[in-house]
Amino acid sequence: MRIVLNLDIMMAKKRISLGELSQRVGITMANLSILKNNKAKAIRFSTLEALCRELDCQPGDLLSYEEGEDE
Amino acid sequence: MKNSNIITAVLFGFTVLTMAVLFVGLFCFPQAMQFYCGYTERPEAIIPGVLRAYYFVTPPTIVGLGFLCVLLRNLLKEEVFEQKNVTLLRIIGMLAFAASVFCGVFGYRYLPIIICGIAGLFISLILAVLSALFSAACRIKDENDLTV
Repeated sequence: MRIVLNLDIMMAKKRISLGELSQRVGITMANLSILKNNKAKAIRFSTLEALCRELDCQPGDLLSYEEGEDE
Repeated sequence: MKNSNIITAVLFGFTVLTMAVLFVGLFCFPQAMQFYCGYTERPEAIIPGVLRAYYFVTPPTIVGLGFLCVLLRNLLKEEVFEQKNVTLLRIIGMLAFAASVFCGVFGYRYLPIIICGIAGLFISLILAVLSALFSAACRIKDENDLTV
């Protein structure tokens, strides 16, 4: 059971690069990369809010729940 | 250099010095014991027992101090809550336990050696608790580092 962040899908839909999104959201490329590669253990509401604002989506569009072993 | 780093550096130096003294003792402890017995007028019959205890206790102690040096070097490099430090603490604790068991087995006739053994046992217990704390701290740090 794991929560997956579909950041790469949303970025592709909105045609936005990692560097541009990191600048707009105000977090480092390294941290955004952790989120994109689903290595993050938790996400702050403030980060989620900024991502939703910049990608013009809902939290549910970014997050999904998958069956399977936790990494 | 910060105060904590100065203390760690002093501890590192003291650990290396203790290791060196114990290592030299492996070669000249019999002569030192004979001198001690002659000087304090104690019976030479105690020498074999004390030597046996020393030669069994010193190797794990020296190895443990070596691992302690590695741990202190990690702390000096500001690598504190890392999994490798948890492993080092566990190994040092196990070596302290082994040394205390050897103290009990080979030096049970001599009160000072028994006291050293009991001290070693306490140290190993404290290190076991400390390694568990470090392990929990590593997990918390890991979660904190991966919270974006």
